[in-house]
Amino acid sequence: MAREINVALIGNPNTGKTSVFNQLTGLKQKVGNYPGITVEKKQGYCLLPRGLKANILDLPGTYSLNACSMDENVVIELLLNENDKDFPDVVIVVADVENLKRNLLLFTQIKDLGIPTILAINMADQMARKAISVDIKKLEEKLQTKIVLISSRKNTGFEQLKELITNYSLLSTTPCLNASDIDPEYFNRLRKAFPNQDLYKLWLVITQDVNFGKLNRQPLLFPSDFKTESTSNLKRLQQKETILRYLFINEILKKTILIDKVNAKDLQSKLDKILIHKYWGYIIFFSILMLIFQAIFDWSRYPMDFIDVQFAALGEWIKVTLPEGVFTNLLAEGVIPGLAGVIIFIPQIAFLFLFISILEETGYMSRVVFLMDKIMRRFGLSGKSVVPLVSGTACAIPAIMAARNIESWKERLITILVTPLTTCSARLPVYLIIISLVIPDHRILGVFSLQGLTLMLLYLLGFSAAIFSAYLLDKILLIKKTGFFVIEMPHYKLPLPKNILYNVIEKTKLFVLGAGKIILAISIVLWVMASFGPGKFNEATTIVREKTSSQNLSEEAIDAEIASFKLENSYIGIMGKTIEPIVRPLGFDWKIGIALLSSFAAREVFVGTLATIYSVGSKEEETIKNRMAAEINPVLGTPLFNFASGISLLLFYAFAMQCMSTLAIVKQETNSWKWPIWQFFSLTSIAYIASLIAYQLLK
Amino acid sequence: MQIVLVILIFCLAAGYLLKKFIWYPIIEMQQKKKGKTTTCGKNNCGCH
Amino acid sequence: MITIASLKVGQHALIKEISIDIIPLKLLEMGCLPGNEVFLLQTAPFKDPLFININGCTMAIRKEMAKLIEVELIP
Repeated sequence: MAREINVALIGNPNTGKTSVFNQLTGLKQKVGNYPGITVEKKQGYCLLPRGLKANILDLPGTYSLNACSMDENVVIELLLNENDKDFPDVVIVVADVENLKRNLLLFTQIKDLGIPTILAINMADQMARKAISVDIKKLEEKLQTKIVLISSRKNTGFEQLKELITNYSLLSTTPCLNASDIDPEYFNRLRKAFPNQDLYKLWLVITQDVNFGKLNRQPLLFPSDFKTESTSNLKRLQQKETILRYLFINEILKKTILIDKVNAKDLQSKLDKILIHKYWGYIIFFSILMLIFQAIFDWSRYPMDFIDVQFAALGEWIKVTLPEGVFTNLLAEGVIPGLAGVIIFIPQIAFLFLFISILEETGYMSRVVFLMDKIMRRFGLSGKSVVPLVSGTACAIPAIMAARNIESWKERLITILVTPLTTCSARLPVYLIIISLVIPDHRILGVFSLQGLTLMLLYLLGFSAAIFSAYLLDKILLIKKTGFFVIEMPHYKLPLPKNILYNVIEKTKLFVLGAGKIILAISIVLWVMASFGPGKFNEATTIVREKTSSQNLSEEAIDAEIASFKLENSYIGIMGKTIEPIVRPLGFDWKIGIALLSSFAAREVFVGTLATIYSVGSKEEETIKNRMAAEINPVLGTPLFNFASGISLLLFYAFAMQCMSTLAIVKQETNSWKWPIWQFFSLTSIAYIASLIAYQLLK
Repeated sequence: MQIVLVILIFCLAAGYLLKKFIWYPIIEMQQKKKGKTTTCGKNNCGCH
Repeated sequence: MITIASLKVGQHALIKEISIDIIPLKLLEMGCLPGNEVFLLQTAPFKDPLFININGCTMAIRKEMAKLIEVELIP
């Protein structure tokens, strides 16, 4: 019969804490959210010796218990609340051997709360290379704890760690620092006012208000005669605490750690000289970006085609196998394509996050942030906005969530608001078909295809629009700039495949779950609206047969006419016709209007909707293209899809905020409906105006 | 029979969307008018 | 006043007094304490941000923050 204990993994960022979590829990982990805030909650479990089960919570990385962001707040909230069901029975502080001094600050704070704490020194495999040696026994003695050297890379030390966890009750809980040393007089008063409370815990509760935000607990009731300290005094005392702790740590480390500077090898600075060089740094970065995009385009084509074919086959199969009727049609023509619309983007998104994870794991990403920060700031963004903006080319949903590590609220908000302008994968099918229709298939200088160039221009347009909007927003939004920028520049290291895999799976899940449900729901609604209609709709067959009785049409052609007529008179057809006056100045007709409306489910639905509208049986691009090329503009009598209307359509898709799933995520990340609503209206207006101008100028 | 299923699925889908995009925002607007109930950091309360 | 922002690449210095009202606690916790050693590893164009090593830890901070930390050069 297994007993269960709670284990919390805490540590500085970049110590490989996540790797430790992955090693301990394997695939037995799940990611959720803390209620009400946008911080990830990672939980898993691990089976320990002697039938014990450990529930492991991977907490956000932090440098100390003095929180200055939501992430860090989660850590202290948990540690101060014994009644929380996740409150740990034992804490593992993951430290990395190179920054031990700084890691120990957090360690001593946690220990002082009286919670059994184990010190796990990670990256132990690097010790020989860095010529660092540690006297474990002595360190254990001085810190009054148990230490284990682990390497998540080489997978060593974990059995020992599990043993230590199992024997957690043997750990000493003596504090490292005597809290009163911070300020004897003040703490004396505290002790008198709150005789039954642990002093250090009390101190942390008081200082939390100063740091970040009010804790989720009852406000502290000071006895009426207690003279509370001013905020600046409290800050001064916090500083003193930090200094005292470091003094303590320095003393200990002097006697227990030896770094032989002479023998330490140093590839790091050589790499940095090139990678963040004033010219080479940028050239290398942009080359890497180009390579990544190229790879994603090329590689994802095969799985995407495969998925496309499979789902089309599945739809057919359903139509044939299930009894004929409306529901079967709903499944085959609404649900299956809806699902396909989500699944088909998984390859592209997974590949992009594969590359981004690799860049992050190696430590290169922080160099990119370093290179780009100054430039980004000119536009109201942060160096850390690079990852969201680049990720946006796959899907805005995980991209927007990646903005969480931006410290300044204003910079983060602006990043979130402009990221949807980058060309996401869903826009691609729309771009491709319009380009192939209206851009001539020529080559400039024999090398550059005009069509390829147009595509590239559209991508550039997306980025430029994002940057330019950020600039405007920076000037318009009256929010104070806060938060202080710091980015740790970890040493370069080889990425751990396991971490990358888990990361890619997580990010892809975000897209599938975040967008999937919404896209599916909208697909169903749209299908129903396109398959039912009032009045004339229900007499389609009769009306069409009458109309075409004089023409000698084949059964197929008649069926196609019927389908087209039905669509025109369905609910969505009526909606399309209603908005036709609005979109005609853009060069569109009601059919395109319908496609625009249906794109709100997912942009790529545009192509499928057009296939239905032009009553094409298969989804073959050639056939759709030919059909579209033959469409005549009812007003002008000239081809509908010409250069002017094509450009107009491209511009509309480039700017319009059609993705409902993205709106939902913006709401989640900004915790308010104000921003997504505002985003929707302004972007769609810009799209309209841009389309309008383009069409009117070019026609 | 089939039409019943269709109507059912349609209501589920439409209901989900309405709930997510119309109902929740309304509730939140009301909550905001009454005053914040969730704790957050200072900073314009974008809750980051 | 010599600050981190005035350092040249490769120069080592010791941190002098810190004004807690301006310098965030977090920076102190990362090792930016009076008496600790800091040296400038590299700078981005326009000397912003600065890639520094404080107390053995490598990190990057913006120039506006670096300007607030007073140091004294070590020959």
